[in-house]
Amino acid sequence: MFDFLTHNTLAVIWFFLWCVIWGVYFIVDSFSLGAGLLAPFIATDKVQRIQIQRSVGPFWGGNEVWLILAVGGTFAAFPLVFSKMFTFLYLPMMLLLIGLVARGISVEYLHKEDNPRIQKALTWGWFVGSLLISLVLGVAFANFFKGLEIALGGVYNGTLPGLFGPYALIGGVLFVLMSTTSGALWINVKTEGALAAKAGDLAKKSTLIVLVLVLVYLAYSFMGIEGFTSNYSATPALYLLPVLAVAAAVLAVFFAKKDRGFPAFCSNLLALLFVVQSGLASIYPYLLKSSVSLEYGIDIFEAASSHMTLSIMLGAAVVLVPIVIIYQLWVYTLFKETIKEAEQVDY
Amino acid sequence: MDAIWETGSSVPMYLIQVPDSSTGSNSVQLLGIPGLASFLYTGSFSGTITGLNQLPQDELPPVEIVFWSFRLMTILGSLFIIEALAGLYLHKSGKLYTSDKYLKLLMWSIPLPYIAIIAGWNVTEIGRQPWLVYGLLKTANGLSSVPTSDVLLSVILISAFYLILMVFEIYLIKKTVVNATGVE
Repeated sequence: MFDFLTHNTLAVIWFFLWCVIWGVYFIVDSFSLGAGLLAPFIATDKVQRIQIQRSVGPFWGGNEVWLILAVGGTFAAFPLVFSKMFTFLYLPMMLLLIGLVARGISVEYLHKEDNPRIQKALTWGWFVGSLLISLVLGVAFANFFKGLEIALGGVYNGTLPGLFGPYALIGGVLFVLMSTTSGALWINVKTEGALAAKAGDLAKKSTLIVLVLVLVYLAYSFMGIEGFTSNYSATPALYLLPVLAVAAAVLAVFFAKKDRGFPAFCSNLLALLFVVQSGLASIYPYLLKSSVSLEYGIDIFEAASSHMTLSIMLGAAVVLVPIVIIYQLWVYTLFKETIKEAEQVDY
Repeated sequence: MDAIWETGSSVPMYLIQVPDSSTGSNSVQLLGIPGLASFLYTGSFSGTITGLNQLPQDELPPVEIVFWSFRLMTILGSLFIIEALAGLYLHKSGKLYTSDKYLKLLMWSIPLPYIAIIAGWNVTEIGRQPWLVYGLLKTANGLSSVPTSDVLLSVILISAFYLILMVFEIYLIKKTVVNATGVE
């Protein structure tokens, strides 16, 4: 019945799913990361800090599940890439891990302790954790798009400072700023009072900076990164992705200016999604592209698990991913009320 | 885990036992319950167990660490059950909140589950050595090409980070206790 699902077809399907899952993670966690990035700067007192915390409190854990799914999916569908990725990028992944722990602890304990010094430390812990996560992932993905220094026989010649080239730095900063914008617009939509107004004003400026950076990043990608355009030349329809990214970034500026928080928030998320997908579309069929020479990279067919693993997982994903999406949407409707300037935390 | 050195059937389980891997035997073994070890491993009191001395010597984990970790875990586990039953008894007889000794005991028991968990992990992880995946991949062959200095750095980093978290956790536990009881 499923004879058409050859190993290669399954590998392509899983590459597609891999792109979707990473894309979903990037957009859903962007606002919880952004809230953390903004917390020490826009909250003037404890009331506002708790407003920010409550705006993401019920959601951040569910958002992180997509990261677990993305990393777990990489492990199960493309084990070779998983092992290479964590070997090549050992220290960055370590920083990511510490960022994840710091963020989780800070956001959950923020309102459990009244001591002002601890509150301050946790607010900064939340910031540092969110910064580590967004910066490391932004830099890592820019490096994936550019290609890692993989030489003959899969030998990795890259160094830690080598990962922070100009292209990767722009990617990292772009992801940090898009998350910040996402967080600002989320706070604007989700809270009431002075905090919401301040976040909205901030988004007016940050959407503009994001638009400029999106243009710079995409221009750099298409003109300065070797091999970036080859898939685009082969399938010109892919040019829709960067065009949509820019269009969404423009819309975000427009809506933010008009104080229409929710459409601006959605536009910013779409811009982020399409920037990521523009990059992912360029690396196919490679998962770990080599910047030394294309044939040294690890492609999806080489990295994919066995036919049986991929089919079983596809079945599981078809059943479970919709369930996850449904219960996460349910969480959003459950906590849909905007957060007023009250001190108590009731969950 | 139970330091059974020689292959045999109807193997007893000793209540008091001190294994010594340098001689490949137990230096102390007292109070054997006949056939119990056989029953635990094979489901039959007369079942045959392959002894550690009959296995390839380069495929044995450090027996003493596994042996004592397992006992530490189970002894602590039994202690928790006894403590819980004692609590239930005190609750039923209405003395739970006035029994200073019992409450102090519980307070000092807070770190014990952590120790039990670590001991339990020692049993699985050290007991599996020298294999990473039993029968398939040895730990020595499973090494990644990550430079040792990077691994060292990551171990220091994560330990320092967890140390900070531990201090914070102890502070919060103390705070919670003080808030609930009003006693420093």
